[in-house]
Amino acid sequence: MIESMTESYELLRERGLESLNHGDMQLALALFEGALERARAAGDEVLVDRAFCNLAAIEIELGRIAEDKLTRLREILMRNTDMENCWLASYNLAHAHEIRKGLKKALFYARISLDRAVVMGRRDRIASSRNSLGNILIAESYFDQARVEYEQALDLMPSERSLKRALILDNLGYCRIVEGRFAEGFRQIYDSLRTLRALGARGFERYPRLDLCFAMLEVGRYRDAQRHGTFALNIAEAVGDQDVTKNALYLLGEAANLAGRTGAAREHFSSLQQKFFPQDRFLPDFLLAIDVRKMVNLRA
Amino acid sequence: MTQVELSARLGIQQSDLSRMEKGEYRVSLDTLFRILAEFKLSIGEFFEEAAQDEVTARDLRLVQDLRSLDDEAQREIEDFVAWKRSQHQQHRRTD
Repeated sequence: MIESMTESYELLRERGLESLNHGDMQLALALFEGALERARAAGDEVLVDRAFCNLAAIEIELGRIAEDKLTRLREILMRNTDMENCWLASYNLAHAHEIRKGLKKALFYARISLDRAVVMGRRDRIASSRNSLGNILIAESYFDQARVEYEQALDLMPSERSLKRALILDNLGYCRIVEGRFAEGFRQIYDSLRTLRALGARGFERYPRLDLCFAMLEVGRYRDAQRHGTFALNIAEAVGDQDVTKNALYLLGEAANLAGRTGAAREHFSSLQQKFFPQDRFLPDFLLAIDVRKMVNLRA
Repeated sequence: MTQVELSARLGIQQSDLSRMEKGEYRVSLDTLFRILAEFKLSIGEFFEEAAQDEVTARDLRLVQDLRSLDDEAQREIEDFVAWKRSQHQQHRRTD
């Protein structure tokens, strides 16, 4: 009975990971919930902790993790009974704090996760921890340090296409664009987009599309910026990603403004202001007059 | 308002504000507009005043032409305009 419950848990966990790779978060959530139930039925504490961590990862990504679950993740980390679970707990805690913009705490847990991954000697976990560190550093505008972490993460990953690889490539490309290394940046972002398309992860395409919009603005290709920005906006609105929607509206406004289409620019800036900053009615005029691209971090 | 006070109100590190001054630190749109909102009164007043004057197509074309120039050329234009204005003011005083 216990064996079949454990096998059942493994099956659900694998299917959950598969759904995750396709960007289907809701299905992944359901599968990991099922996996946790199986783990509890199997009565294996280490497995229960692991299943809990996997489920927590999805809830964190969906932005709906409860405080008591974060506390439990800390407990799992402190218990230190299983290295893999310690890694999962610290990695998830880093991500939770990153999403909440608690970047100091995020950095703290990310470094712990890297330490655990190195002790385990697992390349895939080290790669994930390096990516996590990269994400936190890029949010703090440490683009150079972030780039180093992303490059190390990529070196440790298998070369075949994966969602993780695609997202790291996109982040790397963004760093390069900000640093002014356009050829490399474009290549990496396009690589990311091609990978996501091949994986059928349409929802995730919003990230490289947004970055391509930004990159095209940097090199003066305003029509291409508009095209990619529109893609990013449509996908972001479809999946309910407020951050990408916000950034896309801003960049589309900038693209129109730079192309001399003031009317269209005002429309985008007004849409941005009305949806997200309703009390700041001066914003459209301000953005029409002042180019704030050098002040904005799309990863912050 | 000091940098310490501003950083506390914005919820960002003072060191990051310093980095921002040097162009090393970029922020999210949310944070950028929070910074602007801290100075909202002066910016809002500025734009209300500007909105009372009619903006013509010629005005827009001039702004677009200015934006198409590089930084150095824009600064030269600004210096020229400042010089013309001072000349204009002197001329009015002597009339």
